[in-house]
Amino acid sequence: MSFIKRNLRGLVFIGLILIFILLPLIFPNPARIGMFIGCGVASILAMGWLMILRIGCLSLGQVAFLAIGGYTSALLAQKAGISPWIGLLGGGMASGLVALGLGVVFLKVRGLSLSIITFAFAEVVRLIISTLEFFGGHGGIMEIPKFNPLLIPGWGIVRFDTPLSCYYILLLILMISGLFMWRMDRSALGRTFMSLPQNENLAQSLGIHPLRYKVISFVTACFFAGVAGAFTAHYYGVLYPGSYIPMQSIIVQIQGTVGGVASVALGGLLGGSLMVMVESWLLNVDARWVYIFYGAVILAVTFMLPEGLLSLPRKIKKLYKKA
Amino acid sequence: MALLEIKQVSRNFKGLTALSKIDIDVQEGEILGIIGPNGAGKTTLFNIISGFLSPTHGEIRFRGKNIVGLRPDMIARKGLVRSFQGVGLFPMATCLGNLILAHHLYQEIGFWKTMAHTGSYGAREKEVKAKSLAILKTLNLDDKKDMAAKDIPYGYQKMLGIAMALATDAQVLLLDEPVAGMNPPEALAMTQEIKRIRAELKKTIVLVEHNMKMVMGVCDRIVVIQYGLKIAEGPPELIRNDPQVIKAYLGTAEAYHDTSN
Repeated sequence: MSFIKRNLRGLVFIGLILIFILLPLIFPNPARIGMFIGCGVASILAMGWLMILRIGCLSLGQVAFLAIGGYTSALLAQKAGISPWIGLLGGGMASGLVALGLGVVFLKVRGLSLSIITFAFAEVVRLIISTLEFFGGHGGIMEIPKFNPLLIPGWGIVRFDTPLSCYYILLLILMISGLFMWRMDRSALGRTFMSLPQNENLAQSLGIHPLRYKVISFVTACFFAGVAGAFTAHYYGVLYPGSYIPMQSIIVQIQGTVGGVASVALGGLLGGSLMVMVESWLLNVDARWVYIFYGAVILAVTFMLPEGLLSLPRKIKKLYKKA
Repeated sequence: MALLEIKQVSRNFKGLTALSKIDIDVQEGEILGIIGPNGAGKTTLFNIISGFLSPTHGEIRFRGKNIVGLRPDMIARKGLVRSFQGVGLFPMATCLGNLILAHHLYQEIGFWKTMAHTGSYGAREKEVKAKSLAILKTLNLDDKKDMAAKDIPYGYQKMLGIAMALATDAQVLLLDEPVAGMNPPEALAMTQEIKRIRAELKKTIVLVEHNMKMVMGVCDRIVVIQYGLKIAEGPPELIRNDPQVIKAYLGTAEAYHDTSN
C-alpha cells in the first residue's frame, strides 16, 4: 500500500500510457482510431492553452499555431521534398519562432488587450493562408505526402499509412509534449509563471525579468501546437483554411477550461479528450448539436466548476465531509 | 564612500516636477527614514531607485556603480530589493509558497537545468523549503504557513512582504510604508522586527513612512522631502525640532494625530 502511495504519480503515468497503447487494439474500428487521434491533437492544444494561461494570458488564437505548423510542414514536403518526419520538427520550430517574435513584442501587454491581440493574430494568419496563392488560397493544399516508411532496427521497414500507425506517431508526440509541459509546470519555472499574473511588479522586484518567462511559456506551448499541426497535415493529407476559424480557438479554450487549471498536462489531456469524444458522438446524432453543446458546457463549467474537472474530486471530498 | 548615493536626482512628469535635485547618501548598516507630506515625491524616489521609473536627471550609485537605466530585476540582483506600498505579495500562494517563490525568483535557475532536474535540483528544493520555514519561524508566521497569503491578517501580510525581501539576501532593503494601516501593536511588532533585521542580519534599510512615532523610534537619520525638494536631513532629535519641518509637516493637526498613535 505504501509503495502505491509513494509512487502514485509514476503508476498513474505508466497506467495512462498502457491504456493509450492498448486503446486502438481494443477499438480497432478506423473511425474510432480517427477519433482518438482527434483527442490527442486537441489535448496537445489544450495543454498549450493552459500553459499560456499560467502567465495570465487567455489565448484566443491557439489554432493559428496549428495552422503555421501544418502549412510549414506541408509546403516543406511538397515544394522541397523534405521528409514529413523532419517536417514535424520544422512545423514546430516555425510555430515557435513566430511565437517568439510575437511574444517579445506583445507579451508586455496585459489582460484583455492581450487576448484580443492573439485573436487578431489568428485571424491574420487565417486570412494570409486563405488569400495567398503560395499557401493554396481558399482551396487549401491537397495531396500532402503521408509519413514515409522508416527503417527501424530490429523491426525492419515499418510503413505508416494506416490510421493505427499514425495513432502511435501521435501518441509519441503527445507523450513528449505532455511530459515536457508537466515537468515545466511542476518545477520552479511553473511557479514563476504562476507568480506573474498575481503580482508582476513584485516578481520583477525580486529579481526576474517577467517578459523572459512569459516568452518561454508562450513559445513552448506554440512549439507543440505547431508539431501537432504538422502531424495533422501529413495524417489527413489535405489542409484547408476553413478549419482554422476563430471558433476552433474558442473550442481549445473550452477544452482547457473543462479539463482544469490544477495541472497543465492532466487538465489538457482530460479536457481535450473528453470534449472530442462527446463531440464525435454528437456528430453522429446531429451535427447541429456540437456548438450548442460547447456553449452549454462552458456556461455550466464557469458557474459550477470554475477550476475544471480536476477540481471535482476535491469538491466531492468537501461535500462528503460536510454530510 | 556611501553604500548608496543618490546624486542630483530630478524627475519631471510632463512639466510637473516631482523631484528636484535630491541628494541622499545611505551609509552601510544604517536605517534611513524618508518622510514628507502626501505627494512630496517619496514613492517616486523609491520607484526611481528600484528602477521602475528613470530619473530625468541625476545619478544613482550603488557600491560606486551607476544603476540608472538598469531594469528593476537587474537592480534587485545587485542587492537592492524593495517592498511595496499596501500589500505586496502573491495572494493565491500559501505563505510558505510566497517565500519559496521569493527564493526562486532571486536565485533564478537555468531553463534546461530546471527541466532536466539534474544534479543539485532536488537538494536545492529542500534547502529552499527549510530556509523559508526558518524565516517564517523567526517572524512567528509558521502556524500560518499553509494558509493562502490573501487570507491572513493585514499585519501578517505586511510582515510576509518584508520576509520575502529578506529571502533574497539583498544588502539594502527599501521599505515603502511598512507600518501603514497597522494597529499600534502590529506597528510596534514591525518596528522591533526592522530593528532586529538590522542588528542580526546586518542589512541597510531605507524606509518611507507616515507614522512619526515609528520613524522617530527606529531611524538613525531622517530625510525630509516637500514638493520634490529636500528640506532637511539629520538625526531624529534634530528633525523633530527643525522649524522648517514643523511648519511643513509636523505642525498640521493631522500630523499631530499621526504622532499620537
